[in-house]
Amino acid sequence: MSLELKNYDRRNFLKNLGLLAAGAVVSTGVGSLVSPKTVQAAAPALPWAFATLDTAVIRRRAYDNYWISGCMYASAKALLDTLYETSGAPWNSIPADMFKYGKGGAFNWGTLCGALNGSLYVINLATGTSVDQLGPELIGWYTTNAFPSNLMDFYARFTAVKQSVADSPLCHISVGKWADLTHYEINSDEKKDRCAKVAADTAVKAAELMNAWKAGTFSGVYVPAAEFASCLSCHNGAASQLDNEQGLANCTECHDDGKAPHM
Amino acid sequence: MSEVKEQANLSRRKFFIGSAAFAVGAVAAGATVAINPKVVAAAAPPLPFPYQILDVDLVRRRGYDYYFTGGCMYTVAKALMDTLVETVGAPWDTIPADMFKFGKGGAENWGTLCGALNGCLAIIELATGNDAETIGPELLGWYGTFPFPSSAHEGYCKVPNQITTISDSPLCHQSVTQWSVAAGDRISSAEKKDRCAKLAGDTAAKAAELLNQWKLGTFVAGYKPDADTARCFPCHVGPTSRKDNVQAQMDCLECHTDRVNHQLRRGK
Repeated sequence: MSLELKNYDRRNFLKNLGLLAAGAVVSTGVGSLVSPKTVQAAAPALPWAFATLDTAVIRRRAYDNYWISGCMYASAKALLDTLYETSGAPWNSIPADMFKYGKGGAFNWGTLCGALNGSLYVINLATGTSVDQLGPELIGWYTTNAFPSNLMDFYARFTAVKQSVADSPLCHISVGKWADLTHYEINSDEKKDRCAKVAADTAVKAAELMNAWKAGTFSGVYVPAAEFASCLSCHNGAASQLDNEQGLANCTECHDDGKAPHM
Repeated sequence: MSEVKEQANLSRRKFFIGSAAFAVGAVAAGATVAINPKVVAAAAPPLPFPYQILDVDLVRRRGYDYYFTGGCMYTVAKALMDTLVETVGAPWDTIPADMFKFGKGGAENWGTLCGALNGCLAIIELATGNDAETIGPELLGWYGTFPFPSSAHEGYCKVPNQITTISDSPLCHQSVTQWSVAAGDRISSAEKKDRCAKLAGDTAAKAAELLNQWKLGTFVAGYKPDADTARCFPCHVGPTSRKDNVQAQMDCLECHTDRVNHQLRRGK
Protein backbone atom coordinates (compact mmCIF):
# COMPACT_ATOMS: atom_id res chain seq x y z
CA MET A 1 0.00 0.00 0.00
CA SER A 2 2.82 2.37 0.81
CA LEU A 3 4.33 1.79 -2.66
CA GLU A 4 1.08 2.74 -4.34
CA LEU A 5 0.78 5.81 -2.24
CA LYS A 6 4.22 7.00 -3.24
CA ASN A 7 2.67 7.97 -6.57
CA TYR A 8 0.51 10.54 -4.89
CA ASP A 9 1.86 13.91 -4.05
CA ARG A 10 2.70 14.37 -0.39
CA ARG A 11 -0.29 16.46 0.53
CA ASN A 12 -2.72 14.05 -1.05
CA PHE A 13 -1.09 11.15 0.76
CA LEU A 14 -1.58 12.71 4.14
CA LYS A 15 -5.03 14.02 3.29
CA ASN A 16 -6.36 10.78 1.90
CA LEU A 17 -4.80 8.29 4.27
CA GLY A 18 -7.76 8.13 6.63
CA LEU A 19 -10.26 7.95 3.77
CA LEU A 20 -8.38 5.11 2.09
CA ALA A 21 -8.27 3.11 5.30
CA ALA A 22 -11.99 3.57 5.93
CA GLY A 23 -12.77 2.81 2.28
CA ALA A 24 -10.84 -0.44 2.41
CA VAL A 25 -13.02 -1.67 5.22
CA VAL A 26 -16.25 -0.80 3.48
CA SER A 27 -15.38 -2.09 0.00
CA THR A 28 -13.88 -5.44 0.95
CA GLY A 29 -16.88 -6.43 2.99
CA VAL A 30 -17.30 -9.63 5.01
CA GLY A 31 -14.33 -11.00 6.89
CA SER A 32 -11.91 -8.21 6.14
CA LEU A 33 -10.10 -6.63 9.00
CA VAL A 34 -7.99 -3.54 9.14
CA SER A 35 -4.78 -4.73 10.73
CA PRO A 36 -3.60 -2.29 13.37
CA LYS A 37 -0.03 -3.22 12.51
CA THR A 38 -0.24 -1.94 8.94
CA VAL A 39 -2.95 0.70 8.69
CA GLN A 40 -3.51 2.81 11.74
CA ALA A 41 -6.04 5.52 12.31
CA ALA A 42 -4.64 9.01 12.09
CA ALA A 43 -4.08 10.68 15.42
CA PRO A 44 -7.12 12.56 16.69
CA ALA A 45 -6.78 16.28 17.20
CA LEU A 46 -5.92 17.67 20.63
CA PRO A 47 -7.15 18.03 23.29
CA TRP A 48 -8.06 14.44 24.06
CA ALA A 49 -11.08 13.97 26.33
CA PHE A 50 -10.45 12.65 29.81
CA ALA A 51 -12.34 11.85 32.99
CA THR A 52 -11.22 13.16 36.36
CA LEU A 53 -8.15 11.25 37.47
CA ASP A 54 -7.53 9.29 40.68
CA THR A 55 -4.29 10.79 41.95
CA ALA A 56 -3.59 8.00 44.45
CA VAL A 57 -3.58 5.44 41.63
CA ILE A 58 -1.26 7.60 39.57
CA ARG A 59 1.12 8.12 42.48
CA ARG A 60 1.49 4.41 43.13
CA ARG A 61 1.88 3.54 39.47
CA ALA A 62 4.49 6.19 38.82
CA TYR A 63 6.52 5.06 41.82
CA ASP A 64 6.39 1.46 40.60
CA ASN A 65 7.01 2.31 36.94
CA TYR A 66 10.19 4.17 37.79
CA TRP A 67 11.97 0.93 38.60
CA ILE A 68 11.24 -0.35 35.10
CA SER A 69 12.56 2.52 33.02
CA GLY A 70 13.16 5.75 34.87
CA CYS A 71 11.43 8.99 35.65
CA MET A 72 9.98 10.16 32.32
CA TYR A 73 8.62 6.73 31.48
CA ALA A 74 7.21 6.45 35.00
CA SER A 75 5.26 9.68 35.00
CA ALA A 76 4.01 9.37 31.41
CA LYS A 77 2.97 5.71 31.71
CA ALA A 78 1.21 6.24 35.03
CA LEU A 79 -0.86 9.02 33.51
CA LEU A 80 -1.46 7.27 30.17
CA ASP A 81 -2.48 3.95 31.72
CA THR A 82 -4.89 5.65 34.09
CA LEU A 83 -6.30 7.80 31.30
CA TYR A 84 -6.87 4.73 29.16
CA GLU A 85 -8.67 2.94 31.96
CA THR A 86 -10.91 5.86 32.77
CA SER A 87 -11.34 7.45 29.35
CA GLY A 88 -10.52 4.75 26.77
CA ALA A 89 -9.09 5.41 23.33
CA PRO A 90 -7.12 7.18 22.01
CA TRP A 91 -5.13 7.15 25.24
CA ASN A 92 -3.74 3.71 24.32
CA SER A 93 -2.24 4.95 21.07
CA ILE A 94 0.86 6.55 22.58
CA PRO A 95 3.57 3.96 23.35
CA ALA A 96 4.93 4.61 26.84
CA ASP A 97 8.28 3.18 25.75
CA MET A 98 8.89 6.32 23.68
CA PHE A 99 9.46 8.19 26.94
CA LYS A 100 12.37 6.09 28.10
CA TYR A 101 14.81 8.59 26.64
CA GLY A 102 14.04 11.16 29.31
CA LYS A 103 15.63 9.42 32.28
CA GLY A 104 18.26 11.38 34.13
CA GLY A 105 17.37 14.55 32.24
CA ALA A 106 17.57 12.93 28.77
CA PHE A 107 19.92 9.96 28.63
CA ASN A 108 21.51 11.06 31.90
CA TRP A 109 22.61 14.42 30.55
CA GLY A 110 20.97 16.19 33.48
CA THR A 111 18.75 18.54 31.48
CA LEU A 112 14.96 18.76 31.93
CA CYS A 113 13.80 16.44 34.73
CA GLY A 114 12.17 13.48 33.05
CA ALA A 115 9.26 13.51 35.48
CA LEU A 116 8.43 16.98 34.19
CA ASN A 117 9.05 16.05 30.56
CA GLY A 118 6.72 13.06 30.66
CA SER A 119 4.03 14.94 32.54
CA LEU A 120 4.20 17.87 30.13
CA TYR A 121 3.59 15.55 27.17
CA VAL A 122 0.42 14.22 28.77
CA ILE A 123 -0.80 17.66 29.83
CA ASN A 124 -0.29 18.77 26.21
CA LEU A 125 -2.37 15.84 24.97
CA ALA A 126 -5.14 16.41 27.51
CA THR A 127 -5.43 20.18 27.41
CA GLY A 128 -4.15 21.21 23.97
CA THR A 129 -3.15 24.85 23.90
CA SER A 130 -3.93 25.20 27.61
CA VAL A 131 -0.60 23.49 28.24
CA ASP A 132 0.81 26.98 27.92
CA GLN A 133 -0.83 27.77 31.27
CA LEU A 134 -0.69 24.40 33.03
CA GLY A 135 2.83 23.54 31.92
CA PRO A 136 4.57 26.56 33.44
CA GLU A 137 2.54 26.05 36.61
CA LEU A 138 3.82 22.48 36.89
CA ILE A 139 7.40 23.52 36.23
CA GLY A 140 7.19 26.39 38.70
CA TRP A 141 5.70 24.11 41.35
CA TYR A 142 8.49 21.58 40.76
CA THR A 143 11.18 24.17 41.39
CA THR A 144 9.72 25.17 44.76
CA ASN A 145 8.45 21.84 46.06
CA ALA A 146 10.29 19.87 48.73
CA PHE A 147 11.01 16.47 47.17
CA PRO A 148 10.30 13.69 47.85
CA SER A 149 6.99 13.67 49.69
CA ASN A 150 6.40 11.07 52.38
CA LEU A 151 3.11 9.93 50.84
CA MET A 152 4.68 6.74 49.53
CA ASP A 153 6.30 5.68 52.77
CA PHE A 154 3.94 2.78 53.34
CA TYR A 155 5.08 1.05 50.16
CA ALA A 156 8.39 2.71 49.31
CA ARG A 157 11.73 0.96 49.61
CA PHE A 158 13.06 3.72 51.86
CA THR A 159 11.08 5.81 54.33
CA ALA A 160 11.45 9.15 56.10
CA VAL A 161 13.73 10.40 53.35
CA LYS A 162 15.30 13.85 53.59
CA GLN A 163 13.80 16.52 51.35
CA SER A 164 15.39 19.20 49.21
CA VAL A 165 14.09 22.02 47.03
CA ALA A 166 15.64 22.10 43.54
CA ASP A 167 15.04 25.76 42.66
CA SER A 168 15.37 24.46 39.11
CA PRO A 169 13.62 22.16 36.63
CA LEU A 170 16.97 20.60 35.70
CA CYS A 171 17.72 17.04 36.76
CA HIS A 172 21.35 18.02 37.32
CA ILE A 173 20.45 20.51 40.03
CA SER A 174 17.48 18.63 41.47
CA VAL A 175 19.41 15.40 41.92
CA GLY A 176 22.70 17.08 42.79
CA LYS A 177 21.23 19.09 45.66
CA TRP A 178 19.53 16.06 47.13
CA ALA A 179 22.69 13.97 46.85
CA ASP A 180 24.69 16.72 48.51
CA LEU A 181 22.19 16.89 51.34
CA THR A 182 21.94 13.17 51.98
CA HIS A 183 25.45 12.10 50.90
CA TYR A 184 23.97 9.26 48.89
CA GLU A 185 25.61 8.40 45.59
CA ILE A 186 23.75 9.17 42.37
CA ASN A 187 23.58 5.48 41.49
CA SER A 188 22.55 4.36 44.97
CA ASP A 189 19.24 2.66 45.67
CA GLU A 190 18.38 5.51 48.00
CA LYS A 191 18.69 8.05 45.19
CA LYS A 192 16.64 5.86 42.86
CA ASP A 193 13.94 5.66 45.50
CA ARG A 194 14.01 9.44 45.81
CA CYS A 195 13.60 9.89 42.05
CA ALA A 196 10.81 7.30 41.92
CA LYS A 197 9.00 9.45 44.47
CA VAL A 198 9.77 12.63 42.52
CA ALA A 199 8.27 11.05 39.42
CA ALA A 200 5.17 10.09 41.37
CA ASP A 201 4.78 13.44 43.11
CA THR A 202 5.15 15.22 39.77
CA ALA A 203 2.71 12.97 37.90
CA VAL A 204 0.20 13.51 40.69
CA LYS A 205 0.64 17.26 40.52
CA ALA A 206 0.09 17.09 36.76
CA ALA A 207 -3.11 15.09 37.34
CA GLU A 208 -4.28 17.61 39.93
CA LEU A 209 -3.72 20.47 37.49
CA MET A 210 -5.53 18.56 34.74
CA ASN A 211 -8.43 17.79 37.06
CA ALA A 212 -8.68 21.44 38.05
CA TRP A 213 -8.55 22.50 34.40
CA LYS A 214 -11.30 20.04 33.55
CA ALA A 215 -13.40 21.31 36.46
CA GLY A 216 -12.83 24.89 35.37
CA THR A 217 -11.07 25.74 38.61
CA PHE A 218 -7.48 25.90 37.42
CA SER A 219 -5.70 29.06 38.38
CA GLY A 220 -1.95 29.44 38.17
CA VAL A 221 -0.35 30.43 41.45
CA TYR A 222 3.35 30.16 40.67
CA VAL A 223 5.30 33.39 40.57
CA PRO A 224 9.08 33.72 40.43
CA ALA A 225 10.71 34.51 43.76
CA ALA A 226 11.73 38.08 44.43
CA GLU A 227 15.44 37.22 44.23
CA PHE A 228 15.21 36.66 40.48
CA ALA A 229 11.94 38.32 39.51
CA SER A 230 13.92 41.53 39.19
CA CYS A 231 16.27 39.82 36.71
CA LEU A 232 13.40 38.74 34.49
CA SER A 233 11.91 42.21 34.28
CA CYS A 234 15.06 43.51 32.54
CA HIS A 235 16.23 40.43 30.68
CA ASN A 236 13.30 38.18 29.86
CA GLY A 237 10.41 38.68 27.51
CA ALA A 238 9.52 40.86 24.58
CA ALA A 239 8.53 43.73 26.85
CA SER A 240 11.70 43.62 28.94
CA GLN A 241 14.37 46.25 28.60
CA LEU A 242 17.08 43.98 27.19
CA ASP A 243 15.21 40.81 26.11
CA ASN A 244 18.49 38.95 26.01
CA GLU A 245 17.89 35.85 28.15
CA GLN A 246 15.97 32.65 27.37
CA GLY A 247 14.71 30.91 30.47
CA LEU A 248 12.41 31.27 33.47
CA ALA A 249 14.37 29.32 36.06
CA ASN A 250 15.92 30.88 39.16
CA CYS A 251 18.84 32.93 37.79
CA THR A 252 20.70 33.00 41.11
CA GLU A 253 21.19 29.23 41.05
CA CYS A 254 24.04 29.81 38.62
CA HIS A 255 24.49 33.56 38.29
CA ASP A 256 25.55 34.36 41.82
CA ASP A 257 29.24 34.34 41.18
CA GLY A 258 30.09 37.69 39.73
CA LYS A 259 29.54 36.72 36.11
CA ALA A 260 26.82 39.32 35.83
CA PRO A 261 28.38 42.78 36.19
CA HIS A 262 25.67 44.20 38.43
CA MET A 263 25.58 41.35 40.92
CA MET B 1 -6.35 -9.77 18.00
CA SER B 2 -3.50 -11.24 20.04
CA GLU B 3 -3.28 -8.00 21.95
CA VAL B 4 -6.97 -8.27 22.68
CA LYS B 5 -6.54 -11.82 24.00
CA GLU B 6 -3.57 -10.85 26.13
CA GLN B 7 -5.28 -7.87 27.61
CA ALA B 8 -8.56 -9.67 28.21
CA ASN B 9 -7.09 -11.09 31.40
CA LEU B 10 -6.45 -7.68 32.84
CA SER B 11 -9.54 -7.19 34.93
CA ARG B 12 -9.40 -3.40 35.09
CA ARG B 13 -9.39 -3.13 31.33
CA LYS B 14 -12.29 -5.40 30.55
CA PHE B 15 -14.59 -2.55 29.67
CA PHE B 16 -12.28 -1.13 27.07
CA ILE B 17 -11.31 -4.47 25.62
CA GLY B 18 -14.97 -5.19 25.25
CA SER B 19 -15.42 -1.97 23.33
CA ALA B 20 -12.57 -2.84 20.97
CA ALA B 21 -13.89 -6.36 20.44
CA PHE B 22 -17.28 -4.93 19.53
CA ALA B 23 -15.76 -2.62 16.96
CA VAL B 24 -13.64 -5.35 15.34
CA GLY B 25 -16.49 -7.82 15.50
CA ALA B 26 -18.81 -5.42 13.74
CA VAL B 27 -16.44 -5.21 10.79
CA ALA B 28 -15.87 -8.96 10.67
CA ALA B 29 -19.61 -9.57 10.60
CA GLY B 30 -19.83 -7.71 7.32
CA ALA B 31 -21.65 -4.66 8.48
CA THR B 32 -20.72 -1.51 6.58
CA VAL B 33 -19.28 -0.03 9.73
CA ALA B 34 -16.17 2.06 9.26
CA ILE B 35 -14.04 2.36 12.36
CA ASN B 36 -14.06 6.03 13.19
CA PRO B 37 -10.44 7.01 13.79
CA LYS B 38 -11.59 9.82 16.03
CA VAL B 39 -13.23 7.39 18.42
CA VAL B 40 -11.43 4.05 18.26
CA ALA B 41 -7.71 4.42 17.91
CA ALA B 42 -5.54 1.34 17.70
CA ALA B 43 -3.36 0.36 20.61
CA ALA B 44 0.21 1.48 20.17
CA PRO B 45 2.46 -1.11 18.54
CA PRO B 46 5.69 -1.98 20.35
CA LEU B 47 8.92 -0.16 19.58
CA PRO B 48 10.82 0.14 17.38
CA PHE B 49 8.42 1.42 14.73
CA PRO B 50 9.35 0.39 11.16
CA TYR B 51 11.87 2.69 9.53
CA GLN B 52 13.20 3.37 6.06
CA ILE B 53 15.93 5.70 4.83
CA LEU B 54 14.80 9.33 5.03
CA ASP B 55 15.47 12.25 2.70
CA VAL B 56 17.65 14.38 4.98
CA ASP B 57 17.24 17.58 2.96
CA LEU B 58 13.47 17.23 3.02
CA VAL B 59 13.54 16.80 6.79
CA ARG B 60 15.80 19.85 7.11
CA ARG B 61 13.46 22.03 5.06
CA ARG B 62 10.38 20.91 6.94
CA GLY B 63 12.20 21.36 10.22
CA TYR B 64 12.74 25.00 9.26
CA ASP B 65 9.24 25.66 7.91
CA TYR B 66 7.16 24.10 10.71
CA TYR B 67 9.00 26.13 13.36
CA PHE B 68 6.86 29.12 12.54
CA THR B 69 3.72 27.10 13.33
CA GLY B 70 4.52 25.53 16.69
CA GLY B 71 8.13 26.13 17.78
CA CYS B 72 11.25 24.02 17.92
CA MET B 73 10.09 20.75 19.45
CA TYR B 74 6.96 20.61 17.34
CA THR B 75 8.82 21.34 14.13
CA VAL B 76 11.44 18.62 14.43
CA ALA B 77 8.93 15.99 15.50
CA LYS B 78 6.51 16.92 12.73
CA ALA B 79 9.25 17.14 10.10
CA LEU B 80 10.48 13.66 10.95
CA MET B 81 7.04 12.10 11.41
CA ASP B 82 5.51 13.57 8.24
CA THR B 83 8.46 12.25 6.28
CA LEU B 84 8.17 8.90 8.02
CA VAL B 85 4.45 8.69 7.21
CA GLU B 86 5.25 9.35 3.56
CA THR B 87 8.21 7.00 3.48
CA VAL B 88 7.03 4.20 5.75
CA GLY B 89 3.34 4.79 6.49
CA ALA B 90 1.61 3.58 9.65
CA PRO B 91 2.02 3.61 12.58
CA TRP B 92 3.86 6.91 12.24
CA ASP B 93 0.56 8.75 11.77
CA THR B 94 -0.72 7.75 15.20
CA ILE B 95 1.43 10.23 17.12
CA PRO B 96 -0.10 13.74 17.12
CA ALA B 97 2.54 16.35 16.32
CA ASP B 98 0.67 18.87 18.45
CA MET B 99 1.71 17.00 21.60
CA PHE B 100 5.23 18.35 21.08
CA LYS B 101 4.26 22.00 21.27
CA PHE B 102 5.04 22.28 24.98
CA GLY B 103 8.75 21.94 24.27
CA LYS B 104 9.29 25.36 22.74
CA GLY B 105 11.92 27.54 24.35
CA GLY B 106 13.26 24.65 26.41
CA ALA B 107 9.83 23.56 27.74
CA GLU B 108 7.32 26.39 27.86
CA ASN B 109 10.15 28.91 27.57
CA TRP B 110 11.89 27.76 30.75
CA GLY B 111 15.18 27.37 28.89
CA THR B 112 15.82 23.72 29.78
CA LEU B 113 16.40 20.98 27.17
CA CYS B 114 16.38 22.49 23.67
CA GLY B 115 13.06 21.55 22.12
CA ALA B 116 14.75 20.54 18.88
CA LEU B 117 16.65 17.91 20.84
CA ASN B 118 13.63 16.89 22.91
CA GLY B 119 11.51 16.22 19.82
CA CYS B 120 14.26 14.42 17.94
CA LEU B 121 15.04 12.19 20.91
CA ALA B 122 11.42 11.07 21.05
CA ILE B 123 11.45 10.12 17.36
CA ILE B 124 14.79 8.36 17.74
CA GLU B 125 13.31 6.37 20.60
CA LEU B 126 10.28 5.44 18.50
CA ALA B 127 12.41 4.43 15.52
CA THR B 128 15.22 2.56 17.22
CA GLY B 129 13.88 1.36 20.57
CA ASN B 130 16.71 0.38 22.88
CA ASP B 131 19.34 1.59 20.39
CA ALA B 132 18.28 5.13 21.29
CA GLU B 133 20.60 4.67 24.26
CA THR B 134 23.57 5.13 21.91
CA ILE B 135 22.06 7.33 19.18
CA GLY B 136 20.44 9.83 21.54
CA PRO B 137 23.60 10.79 23.41
CA GLU B 138 25.36 11.14 20.06
CA LEU B 139 22.79 13.74 19.00
CA LEU B 140 23.07 15.55 22.32
CA GLY B 141 26.85 15.62 22.07
CA TRP B 142 26.82 16.79 18.46
CA TYR B 143 24.40 19.63 19.33
CA GLY B 144 26.75 21.07 21.93
CA THR B 145 29.66 21.25 19.53
CA PHE B 146 27.94 22.40 16.33
CA PRO B 147 28.04 26.04 15.15
CA PHE B 148 24.36 26.93 14.76
CA PRO B 149 22.74 27.82 12.49
CA SER B 150 24.16 26.13 9.40
CA SER B 151 24.15 27.85 6.01
CA ALA B 152 22.08 25.04 4.48
CA HIS B 153 18.90 27.14 4.68
CA GLU B 154 20.21 30.18 2.81
CA GLY B 155 18.13 29.46 -0.27
CA TYR B 156 14.78 29.88 1.47
CA CYS B 157 15.26 31.38 4.94
CA LYS B 158 13.87 34.73 6.06
CA VAL B 159 17.16 36.08 7.47
CA PRO B 160 20.24 34.91 5.56
CA ASN B 161 23.91 35.04 6.54
CA GLN B 162 23.52 34.88 10.31
CA ILE B 163 26.31 34.68 12.83
CA THR B 164 26.95 31.22 14.30
CA THR B 165 27.65 30.16 17.88
CA ILE B 166 28.52 26.93 19.67
CA SER B 167 26.46 26.38 22.79
CA ASP B 168 28.63 23.83 24.60
CA SER B 169 25.30 22.76 26.11
CA PRO B 170 22.01 21.03 25.22
CA LEU B 171 20.14 23.70 27.18
CA CYS B 172 18.02 26.24 25.35
CA HIS B 173 19.12 28.88 27.86
CA GLN B 174 22.78 28.64 26.89
CA SER B 175 22.16 27.99 23.22
CA VAL B 176 19.81 30.90 22.64
CA THR B 177 21.33 33.39 25.04
CA GLN B 178 24.86 32.93 23.71
CA TRP B 179 23.66 33.43 20.16
CA SER B 180 21.55 36.44 21.09
CA VAL B 181 24.47 38.14 22.82
CA ALA B 182 26.82 37.38 19.92
CA ALA B 183 24.34 38.52 17.28
CA GLY B 184 23.04 41.52 19.19
CA ASP B 185 19.49 40.45 18.45
CA ARG B 186 16.70 40.29 21.01
CA ILE B 187 15.26 36.92 22.03
CA SER B 188 11.85 37.92 20.69
CA SER B 189 13.22 39.21 17.38
CA ALA B 190 12.45 37.78 13.98
CA GLU B 191 16.20 37.20 13.59
CA LYS B 192 16.36 34.93 16.66
CA LYS B 193 13.27 33.03 15.51
CA ASP B 194 14.90 32.45 12.15
CA ARG B 195 18.04 31.22 13.89
CA CYS B 196 16.03 28.74 15.95
CA ALA B 197 14.07 27.59 12.90
CA LYS B 198 17.38 26.83 11.17
CA LEU B 199 18.71 25.14 14.30
CA ALA B 200 15.61 22.95 14.41
CA GLY B 201 16.07 22.07 10.74
CA ASP B 202 19.72 21.26 11.33
CA THR B 203 18.97 19.11 14.38
CA ALA B 204 16.15 17.19 12.69
CA ALA B 205 18.43 16.59 9.69
CA LYS B 206 21.18 15.32 11.99
CA ALA B 207 18.70 13.00 13.69
CA ALA B 208 17.67 11.69 10.26
CA GLU B 209 21.33 11.17 9.34
CA LEU B 210 21.94 9.16 12.50
CA LEU B 211 18.78 7.13 11.95
CA ASN B 212 19.77 6.41 8.37
CA GLN B 213 23.21 5.27 9.52
CA TRP B 214 21.59 3.07 12.14
CA LYS B 215 19.30 1.58 9.52
CA LEU B 216 22.26 0.87 7.23
CA GLY B 217 24.31 -0.58 10.06
CA THR B 218 26.98 2.09 9.72
CA PHE B 219 26.24 4.11 12.86
CA VAL B 220 29.27 4.61 15.05
CA ALA B 221 29.13 6.85 18.10
CA GLY B 222 31.81 9.51 17.81
CA TYR B 223 31.00 12.10 20.47
CA LYS B 224 33.28 12.43 23.44
CA PRO B 225 33.30 15.17 26.06
CA ASP B 226 36.09 17.68 25.65
CA ALA B 227 39.26 17.18 27.63
CA ASP B 228 38.34 19.68 30.35
CA THR B 229 35.00 18.08 31.12
CA ALA B 230 36.39 14.59 30.70
CA ARG B 231 38.64 15.32 33.67
CA CYS B 232 35.59 15.84 35.88
CA PHE B 233 33.83 12.61 35.09
CA PRO B 234 36.16 9.98 36.58
CA CYS B 235 35.65 11.54 39.98
CA HIS B 236 32.05 12.70 39.80
CA VAL B 237 29.94 10.94 37.16
CA GLY B 238 28.89 7.32 37.01
CA PRO B 239 28.67 4.35 39.35
CA THR B 240 32.38 3.59 39.04
CA SER B 241 33.52 7.16 39.65
CA ARG B 242 35.18 8.01 42.93
CA LYS B 243 32.35 10.20 44.27
CA ASP B 244 29.38 9.49 41.99
CA ASN B 245 27.82 12.79 43.06
CA VAL B 246 26.93 14.51 39.77
CA GLN B 247 24.01 13.76 37.46
CA ALA B 248 24.98 15.10 34.04
CA GLN B 249 26.93 14.57 30.85
CA MET B 250 27.06 18.25 29.95
CA ASP B 251 30.12 20.45 29.70
CA CYS B 252 30.83 21.13 33.38
CA LEU B 253 32.88 24.25 32.81
CA GLU B 254 30.02 26.10 31.16
CA CYS B 255 28.85 26.89 34.69
CA HIS B 256 31.39 25.54 37.15
CA THR B 257 34.25 27.89 36.43
CA ASP B 258 34.49 29.32 39.89
CA ARG B 259 32.33 27.40 42.33
CA VAL B 260 34.02 24.05 42.69
CA ASN B 261 36.49 23.59 45.47
CA HIS B 262 39.41 22.74 43.25
CA GLN B 263 38.90 25.75 41.01
CA LEU B 264 39.18 24.04 37.65
CA ARG B 265 39.65 26.37 34.75
CA ARG B 266 39.27 25.59 31.10
CA GLY B 267 42.63 24.57 29.62
CA LYS B 268 44.46 24.38 32.94
